[in-house]
Order: sequence, then C-alpha cells, then structure tokens
Amino acid sequence: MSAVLAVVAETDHGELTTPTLECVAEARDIALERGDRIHALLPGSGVAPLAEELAAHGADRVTVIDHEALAQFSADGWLAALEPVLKEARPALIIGPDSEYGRTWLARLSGRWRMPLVTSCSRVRVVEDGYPEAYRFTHDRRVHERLVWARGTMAGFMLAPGVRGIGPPRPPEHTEIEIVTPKLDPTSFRDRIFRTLPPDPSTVDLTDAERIVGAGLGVGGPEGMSQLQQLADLLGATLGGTRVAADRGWLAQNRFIGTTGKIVSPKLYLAFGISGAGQHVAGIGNSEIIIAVNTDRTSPLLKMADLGVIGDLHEIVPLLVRKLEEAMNERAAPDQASTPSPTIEPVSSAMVPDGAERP
Amino acid sequence: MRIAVCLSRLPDPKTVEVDPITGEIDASRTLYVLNPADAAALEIALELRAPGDRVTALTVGSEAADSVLRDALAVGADDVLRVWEEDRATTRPLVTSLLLATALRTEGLPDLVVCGARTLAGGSGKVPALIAENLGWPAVTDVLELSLHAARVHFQRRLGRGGRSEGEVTLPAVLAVQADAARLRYATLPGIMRAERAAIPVRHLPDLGLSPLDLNFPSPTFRTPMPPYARPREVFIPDSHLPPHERAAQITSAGIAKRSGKVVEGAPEELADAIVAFLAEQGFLDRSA
Ligand SMILES: Cc1cc2nc3c(=O)[nH]c(=O)nc-3n(C[C@H](O)[C@H](O)[C@H](O)COP(=O)(O)OP(=O)(O)OC[C@H]3O[C@@H](n4cnc5c(N)ncnc54)[C@H](O)[C@@H]3O)c2cc1C
Repeated sequence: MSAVLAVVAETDHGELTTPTLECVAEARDIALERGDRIHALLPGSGVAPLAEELAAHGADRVTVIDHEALAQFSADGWLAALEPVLKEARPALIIGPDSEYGRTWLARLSGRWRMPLVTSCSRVRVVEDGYPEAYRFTHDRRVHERLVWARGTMAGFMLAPGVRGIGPPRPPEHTEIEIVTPKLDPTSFRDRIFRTLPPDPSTVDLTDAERIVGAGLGVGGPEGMSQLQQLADLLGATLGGTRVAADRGWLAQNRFIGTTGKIVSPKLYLAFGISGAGQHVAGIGNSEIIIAVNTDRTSPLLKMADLGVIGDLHEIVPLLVRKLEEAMNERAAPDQASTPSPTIEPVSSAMVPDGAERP
Repeated sequence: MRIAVCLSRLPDPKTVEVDPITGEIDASRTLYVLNPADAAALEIALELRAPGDRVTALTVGSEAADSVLRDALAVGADDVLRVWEEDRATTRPLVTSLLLATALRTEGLPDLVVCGARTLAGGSGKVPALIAENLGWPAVTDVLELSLHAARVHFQRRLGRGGRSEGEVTLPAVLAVQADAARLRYATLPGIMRAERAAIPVRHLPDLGLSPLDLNFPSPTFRTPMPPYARPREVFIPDSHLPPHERAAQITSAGIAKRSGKVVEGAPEELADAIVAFLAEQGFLDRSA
C-alpha cells in the first residue's frame, strides 16, 4: 500500500508561498520514487482557489480547511483545525516550510505526538523501504548533518526556504480536492495575530527585500543616487547595488550585491548603470524579474534581463519617477489624484491597543 | 507576577571550526557563551519585573552551565535553578523542554516564561513551543517587542522576508524573543561578587519525579556530520510555445525565472513608458489597499 506524504501549505496575502511549493516538489520527488500519494493541507479563510495550484505542482489530494477564524495565524487555531485532519490522514511524513508560524504550531504538535521534527532541512527522503532521512543545516549553514530514523517512524520535516527551487508544474493525472469547514471557536484561541505588516523597505535586509533598485557605477554620484532613492520609495523597493558603487561611498557596505556581498532573491530587480560583471550577477540569479537600464547595448546584464532598456539612466529615471507617480495616482482613488499615492506602510513600533479593530 | 527565563550555553559561532572534509566540528577549539537571544529574554524579563515580582533563570546542563546562571544573578535575577541528569552528554529539544517544563511545575508555575528564539548554533528553535505544549500553554516565537496588558501580552513578531505581525496572547504563556529584541544590561560589581559566591541549586530527575525512561523519545538511528554543500536548485523553464503573457504568468507563479529577454531602445520618454508598462503588466504597480 502506498504511503501518504502530508504537506502543510502556507499562504501570504492570498497566495501560496514559494517555500510551500518547494515542499510539494520535495514530496513529489519522494512520491515518484516510491509510489506515495501527496496530501496537501491548506488552512485559511477563502483560500480554496489556491488548491488548483497545489494540484498543478503535484498534490494528489488537497484538503482545504476553510474557516473565517483562520484568516490570521493562531497556533491554537492551526492546531485545532489541522490536528484532526492530520490524524485521519495518517501520513508517513509531514512536510512544511521552515517558517516562524510552523516553528510554533508544528513544534507544539510534535511535542503532543512525541514525533521527531527536524527544522532547517535541506533535503528530505525516504530510503530503502521506509527509513525517513533528512539533511539539515546547523551553525548558520556551516555544518550539515544527515539523520536517519527507524523504519516507519512518523516524522515532521521543515524545509529551509529556497533550498531546492521549483521546477515546472507536474500535475498528477487526477487530484481530489475537498473543502472542509472545521468547528472552531476563535474565542478559545489564546494566541492571535491582529495584522501582518509589510517590511519597511528602507531598513529591510537586502536578502529579505521583495523589490530592489540596484545602482552601479553608471549612476555617477550622490545626485543620481537620490533620484534612485525617489524611485525606490515610489515602488516600495530597497536600494542596493554593485560593489563599485559601495566602494565609492554611494551605498552602505552592507548594501552591495554579489559574491562578496549579499545574495538576494527579490521579486523585482531594477538595475541602473550596472554592467553585469560575474561577481555581481552571481548575487542576483534568484531574482524573479530583472529590468536593466544601460547605455551600452553589449552589457551582459541587458542580455540576461527580462526587460533590457538601452538608454541613459540620467534621462530615464526622472521621467520614470514622474510617470510612475501618474500611473499610481490613476490607480488610487480619483479624489486623491493630486497627492502621490502612499508607498508601502512602514512597520510601526506601536502596539495595537486593547480592543483595537481587527482587519 | 512570576517570570521564568530559560537560558542556554552555546558554542560561540566565532570559535566553531568545521572540518571541510568531514564536516565535523573541532570541539577542542569551541568556547561557550550565553545564547544572545537568551540574553535578550533575560533583559525583557528584568524590564517586565514590577516591585514584588520575581524573575527566575533556569538552565538545563552540567555544572559548566552554572556560568550562565551566575551571569543572570549578576544582572539581577532573583532565583536560579539548574536541571540535569548526570551521564548525559547533550540533550535533544524534546528532552530539554520536558526537563524545563517539569522543573517549572515542581517549583511552582510562573505566569510567563521568556526564552530566546532560535539559538545561534545548531538551534532548532523548537524548545519554547515544546515547553508550552508540555505545560498546556500557548507559545509565540520570534518576538521582537512585547508589552504587558493585565493578563495578556501584546507582541510584535518577525516574519520571513522582513515582514512582521502584531498580535496578543493570554497568560500564562511562553514567549520566545529574538536576539535583537533587547540588549542585556551590564552587571554591577556587587552583583558579580554576589553571583560568584551564590550556591546554584540543582535538580536531578528524581527531584522532578522523572525516570530516565520518561526521556526516551524517538531519536535518529544515524546522525552523521556532513561537509556543507549547496544543493543544486531546480530552475523553472516556461513552455516556449505559450504566448508571452502566459509565460510571464507562469514565471511569476512558479518563482524562478527563465528570462524572457525583451530589449527596448528609443527616446527616453518611450523607454520610461516601456518600463512603466512592463511594471504594470507584471503587477508591480498594484497596491493591495
Ligand atoms: C574578487 C572580486 C570580488 C568582487 N565582488 C563583487 C561583488 O560581490 N559585487 C559586485 O557588484 N562587484 C564585485 N566585484 C567587482 C566586479 O568585478 C565589477 O567590477 C563590478 O560589479 C562592476 O560594477 P558596475 O556594474 O557598477 O560598474 P561598471 O562595470 O563600470 O559598469 C558601469 C555600467 O554603467 C553603464 N553606464 C554608464 N553611464 C550610464 C548612463 N548614463 N546610463 C546608463 N548606463 C550607464 C556602463 O555602460 C556600464 O555598463 C568584485 C571584483 C573582484 C575582483
């Protein structure tokens, strides 16, 4: 009989997180080898449409656990919603992203079930006929260890984000999707999240940044930098760049990207006056979308960009700032057309007062 | 109110020498320090302490771990307690958390337990949640800021990619704070003198009503150090037969891009327009209001 591999999905602002899809892909590799079935659990509120995406990446079965009380994370809530489903699924393994939330609820479940739970996994497998095996990082990823459990041990594995990447969708022939509405009493949740705040682009670490505006030597100096800063503010992006730009003092030393700097993985990388030297490019390979602006049509970065723009950044950036302001105002409410639309709300250090409204 | 802080002693990352061939750590070179996140937890406990409150610092470890408890006494902890089972080289998180939870129960339950989130070294970050589960309490990890409001704690928690969330938890609870949540105060000279002379109380398994069998959790049959290696990443390649917008959608949905490689040239106005149009097409101008 084939075993069940449970994958616990995480969502962020109505989308599956990339680490979740990595977990499905990891489970898929195990399943292909052994003929196991992947059972994805998708807790949340109104998340049912995402089941298709889990299916497309290889889930044989998706259980959507839908409840208003699961709109924001609560470890008590997640346990109440997921424990019964997991119990019934009787999985051989439970795989989930190594995330802040997972380290709360899944860790509590592992204590409750006396189940081994391995964090920071770089690889999960089942060897021979049923020995769970995991490789995990320790000591800031400087040490790796391999762990193997007795045959048939039920274990939980939390996959470190970004370790494996995602291949093309590989849907199974048939996916069974079911939606369950658990009986939950949110007043019994002792821990609750009121709201999730986006990162503050001006202070976020480059490795965490979702959007980066990159500056190279072509930016020419502080005036060019302040224009790029305006652009970054508009887009809710963080400023970074090449080592040369940092060495000139235009950027802080912890803000350059490349083999000797930060390795970044933003959704958007907008490069200005950057040639695309190997040492720099090695740090931006994980970017989802790259736009490069350069006067030199032979620059390597232009060639690898999703959108390569041949032109002078000093002419383009001011125009871009103006046009973006216009485009964003159009999208904002018409009566606010005269004020620039707000950029991403920075993280406030204030606490939500008692009885505050919950969005 | 009674506050307990769980402290651990860890290899200082600067002294961890990894053999590049075997991946083993050279133990003879390792020096131990108080886990930075635990230091932050201790500071937060001391800041929360109102007149009449007590802060108790606990650790699981051999006699060598007394040093972190003396550190805690030196900065003003009221009581300390070390828990240990002799003949044990190290403890796994399930054991550590069982020992801590049982010690808390036998010594009289506090209202709040503060721990450090994820240890610097090999840490799994599971201990706080496991203590909570053991006590039947809620847990919140990765806390950056917290404040007390009667029987509740409001917190701000760090999420991946620099995001944060705000919420609350009812007491009693376990909170795990991040290393940068607070900076531990300096010890005073009289504090250090007192801490040096203090006797450190120790509890062994029988004191806690536990038998070695209680500490038998499923453990790996093999545990092998490996040289660090980077796993090759799978790359997403969209189907080249699809029209560009669908390829773009595939790319954004699956995360890892194969570049579509469009190049534009022309007057600056046109180029700026092209960038804006591209950004709009990719959804970068949408604001979730
Ligand atoms: C051991 C070693 C390690 C290194 N590590 C790193 C690293 O980690 N990160 C890193 O970034 N670099 C690193 N470097 C440096 C790297 O080799 C390159 O020198 C550097 O990345 C180039 O930076 P750049 O693109 O800003 O400058 P350049 O290569 O000088 O490129 C400037 C670009 O701007 C364009 N330009 C000029 N004017 C304009 C204009 N008005 N409008 C539009 N475009 C314009 C030019 O056409 C050119 O393509 C390292 C080098 C060594 C030797």
